[in-house]
Amino acid sequence: MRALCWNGVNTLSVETVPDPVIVNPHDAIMRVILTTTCGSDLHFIDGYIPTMRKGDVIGHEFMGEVVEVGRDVKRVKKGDRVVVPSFICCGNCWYCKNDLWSLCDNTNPNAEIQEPLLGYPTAGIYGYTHAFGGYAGSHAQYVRVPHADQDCFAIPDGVRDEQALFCSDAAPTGYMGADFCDIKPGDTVAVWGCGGVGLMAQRSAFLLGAERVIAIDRLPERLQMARDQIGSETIDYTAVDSVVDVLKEMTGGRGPDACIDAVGMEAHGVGVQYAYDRVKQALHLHTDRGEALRQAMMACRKGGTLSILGVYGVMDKFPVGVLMNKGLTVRTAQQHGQKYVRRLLEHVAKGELDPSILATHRFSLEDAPRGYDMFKHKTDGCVRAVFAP
Amino acid sequence: MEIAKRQDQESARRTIVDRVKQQLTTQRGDRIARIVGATALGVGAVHLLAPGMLSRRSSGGLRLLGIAEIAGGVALMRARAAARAKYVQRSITIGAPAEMLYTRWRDPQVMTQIMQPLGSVTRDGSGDGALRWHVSGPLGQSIEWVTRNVEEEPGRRLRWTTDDGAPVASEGSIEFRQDRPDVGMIVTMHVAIPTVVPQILPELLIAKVLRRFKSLVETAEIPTLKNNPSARASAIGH
Repeated sequence: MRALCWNGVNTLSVETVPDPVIVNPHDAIMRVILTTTCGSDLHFIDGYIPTMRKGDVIGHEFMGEVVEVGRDVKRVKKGDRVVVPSFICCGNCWYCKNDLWSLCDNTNPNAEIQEPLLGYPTAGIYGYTHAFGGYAGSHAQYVRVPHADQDCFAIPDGVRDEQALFCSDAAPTGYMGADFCDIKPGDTVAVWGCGGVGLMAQRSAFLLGAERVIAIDRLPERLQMARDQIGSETIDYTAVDSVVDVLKEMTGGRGPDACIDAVGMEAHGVGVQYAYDRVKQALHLHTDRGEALRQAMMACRKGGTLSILGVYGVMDKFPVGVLMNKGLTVRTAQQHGQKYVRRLLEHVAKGELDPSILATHRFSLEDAPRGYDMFKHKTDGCVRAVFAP
Repeated sequence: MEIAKRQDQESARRTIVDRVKQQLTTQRGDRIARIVGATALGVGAVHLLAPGMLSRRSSGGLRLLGIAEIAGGVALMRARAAARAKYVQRSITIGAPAEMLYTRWRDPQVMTQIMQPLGSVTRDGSGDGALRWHVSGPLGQSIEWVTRNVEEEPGRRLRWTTDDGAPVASEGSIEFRQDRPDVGMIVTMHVAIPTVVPQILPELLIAKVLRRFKSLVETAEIPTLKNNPSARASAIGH
């Protein structure tokens, strides 16, 4: 089959690779109908996150049709149209049973890589680094889905492919980020980032009862999407002296009740601290640019919640004293998608959520490298590049 | 004079620190045994001072006194383990009842799945739950040995040793203790790993064995990259 492969830093190419086969009894094989780029892909494409191997098939956000099931698959059947969350989860360990799906104990064959870094291994994920399992990803014609009964979610008839696609990652991640904020009636939620996850987090905050959502970004087309499609108020951080001061003024001097970081380690910014981060990153002295996260910490009202969705490695300018003295609650995780997918599909079916607004550009699988280039440089107003293998 | 005196004090202090460090950082197995042993002493002290406290906990939940037993077992095994062996202790928590864990651990098919692709395990017919292990080394060499159970407490503990004359001398034990009811059983393994085991750090090996056992028990399969598609020349496999 054809598949998009990582062949080195900033080197992607479409290759012919063997088809996936049923290996374990709970596996299913899926024909990929749609698969999309994600901001976290850029971290290993750019070489900031290690343990990729040349020839790895990438892609972790997808939907498709089941074409084959293993002998112990009971619920999912050939022909089902399903969406699959990015994290591979067994459903039987303590973490899965407690809705902490991305922490599954039983799906990372390379657990020994992660233990020295994290203390304990996480679940495996499609199409990412070998520390996260090394499983072949979804930017391909076919993909093997372990634990199909746990991880394949049937798509209701009224929900289009492009809407279901983002229920694999962007929507559940954003929704979880808003869920972490413990939103009360009247609350104001600030969201850094108007990419796929940020926009979904903003919409989810409204669904969960926020009175106001304030979105921060620098790209005019994304800020416009946040205003027009979601209903957020917006701040262009390149057009103001201090995002923190503006947020304070917009909230009667208190600050937002909750702040969601949907930016992560490749944050852009202005000023001295940003320059410091860029230099250290270039010298490989640390992996992260923490600009958005630090603003969120400063801006959040005392006693509020900081919800961190951005992917990070290691940084040395994380002012813990700010968290402590302001009494902030920090909630963070990789997406526990399996907890949220069903309810998200219901929201979509009822017309309350339309993730397809993220699908700004579509490419064939053969043109996927061009799609990633456009996605990375945000050219032509690209929010997400969607591939149809 | 002042400087010399201060320097003397410094080097005396450093010697004491070095000596303590030396004691604390010898073989990793010694350190674990020391911690476990110290815990056992602490537990014993608490038991003497407040006898009711521990027995209340040991009736349903954690068997704190079990730690003293493990420490004793550790000391014994250190004395008996092969001269060129690395000692490892490692625990994992598995959501399954003790009886099932005990039975699955003794099953050669379970052991074979855990050992893949390094080798396979078959029943040796000679009694005592004996198992025959076949392992292929990285240079095409093949090693075979038999293990025999020397202590069997169904649902609680198993201790085994390699037969005399085995090319690889080893012994080990596995214990099952109840943790919080919603979490499951603590499974603790002690093994003396012979240093002929090629290219694999003993701790990583035991950790992998326990993780694979847990995955088999909890999900009836082991996570794998077998036949994982990629553009590498060796794409069949990984």
